[in-house]
Amino acid sequence: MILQRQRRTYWLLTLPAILITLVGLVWPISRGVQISFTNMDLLADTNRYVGLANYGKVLSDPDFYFSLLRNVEYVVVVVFFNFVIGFAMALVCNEKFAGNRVLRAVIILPMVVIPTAAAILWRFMYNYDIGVINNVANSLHILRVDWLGSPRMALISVLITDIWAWTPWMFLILLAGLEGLPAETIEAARIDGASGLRLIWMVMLPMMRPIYRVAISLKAIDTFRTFDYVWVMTGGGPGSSSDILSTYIYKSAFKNLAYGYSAAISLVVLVFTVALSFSVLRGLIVKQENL
Amino acid sequence: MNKYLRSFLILLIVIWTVGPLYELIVMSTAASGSFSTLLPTKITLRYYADILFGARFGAQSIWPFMAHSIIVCTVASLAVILFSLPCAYSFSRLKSKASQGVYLGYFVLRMLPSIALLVPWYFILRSLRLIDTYGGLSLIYLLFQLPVGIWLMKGFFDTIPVELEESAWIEGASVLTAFREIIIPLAGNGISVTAVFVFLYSYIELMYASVLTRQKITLPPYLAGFVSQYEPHWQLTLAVSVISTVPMILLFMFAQRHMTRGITGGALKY
Repeated sequence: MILQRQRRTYWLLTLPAILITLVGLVWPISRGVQISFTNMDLLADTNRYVGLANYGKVLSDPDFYFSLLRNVEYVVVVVFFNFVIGFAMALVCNEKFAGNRVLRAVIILPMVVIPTAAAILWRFMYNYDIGVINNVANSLHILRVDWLGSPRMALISVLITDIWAWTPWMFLILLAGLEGLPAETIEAARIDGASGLRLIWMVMLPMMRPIYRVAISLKAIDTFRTFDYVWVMTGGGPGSSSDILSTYIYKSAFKNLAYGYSAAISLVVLVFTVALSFSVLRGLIVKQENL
Repeated sequence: MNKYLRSFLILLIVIWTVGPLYELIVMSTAASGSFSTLLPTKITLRYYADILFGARFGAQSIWPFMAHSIIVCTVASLAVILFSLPCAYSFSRLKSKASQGVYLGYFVLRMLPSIALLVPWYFILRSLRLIDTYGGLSLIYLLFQLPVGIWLMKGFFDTIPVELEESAWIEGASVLTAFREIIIPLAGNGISVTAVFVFLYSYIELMYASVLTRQKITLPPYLAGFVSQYEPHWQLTLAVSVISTVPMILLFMFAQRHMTRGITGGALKY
């Protein structure tokens, strides 16, 4: 039984965290709103109150929409392949064979590399002249590809890197899910004649639904915020062909020094993602108790 | 699963995961002449030596940057523990609608895109003269990692049965005494795992680190700095990548039993 007095003590204990969180939210957001109402721009050398003009500019800025679109594309592709590859890896590791533990350790390795380092590594491997990918392609008499230098391939190349780096994340969660499935049920399904793909599709996946929902939602949100790979590998280029929201904001603030405008984009993105997160959260809570 | 299919899949998996890492190791040790082949004919450790022991041709040693990273991330993870410990404990014991609501609110905060607050934070920290200080960057990491800290810690507190405190209360201990004397000693494992993951998340952060530091550069912006040069020195850059990944390996090994919990920021409890 918790008494009223104890209840009060508990709430007091939460106060420091809640207070610092509120300050950490209200302060930058209000400052951001304030900046977004100005045309603060160090290159154009302007800093005056312009009202809502920046927001109008955001909503009619094609580069903003393209970045948003690429961002959505990025999330869909990365999460899809994370899931497919990660699930295949988990299925393999769920079997009994010699070297299973070693294989698990190996699979996790890409996640251990700092994202910036992974981005650098892949940027090197993609290098047109000396990169290993083009070298191998060359020795197999396939044409060299300008992976990061051509507008058509740049984003795809970054996507491959992101998939490589974060599949272990999905793998770990799906493996935990697979291992948590009751062995009797799987065995019963097997006796009833379900095997191979049917067993996976009709029995395992439906039973793992709560876990993969959480995994996919979390991964989608994390991927939506991504920055490192694009920034280090292409800087959003060539041109702006691989810009996503984070690199677009970063560039307009710290390369073009258009602070007022980038503060406005930031807030639009903030509102957009908070709305998105709320709907994801509602979906997860309605369907699942243990979150 | 068929034995041959399985062997084939294992082969694919190993090529896909190990291939790039093999490149990383091989190319960071390839002597200049044998560069850009799959099997270098000459191996050298000079790039590692340059980075660990300082300049031979303009290369800086990695230690100052490693130190900046470790200081900032340690401060941040200690601060996260300090704030999240009492808060998560209370969330674990208060089972009211209100506390659940706040707790879930932290989940939404965890999903906040950090880019959205980058510009305002830059100006706030500039006016507080906290740009290029350990304090400024640590403060940012504290704020961004606090939700993760609270979620992870609450998961651990939930596993400690409330009966332990109840018997202490009956003997006249207050909530605070019971928390200090009984709960915190039992939560040691959870505290260290939480600290490790907060450290990890801060250790790999690039965006804020590159905007908020000038001299006190942490490892990710230091690394990124190599490739923004016109013709980066690839072997050197890859060697730096390897060395800055070593702490990650150690921390992951330490926290491996709670991996699923940690990488989902407490959203899944295994």
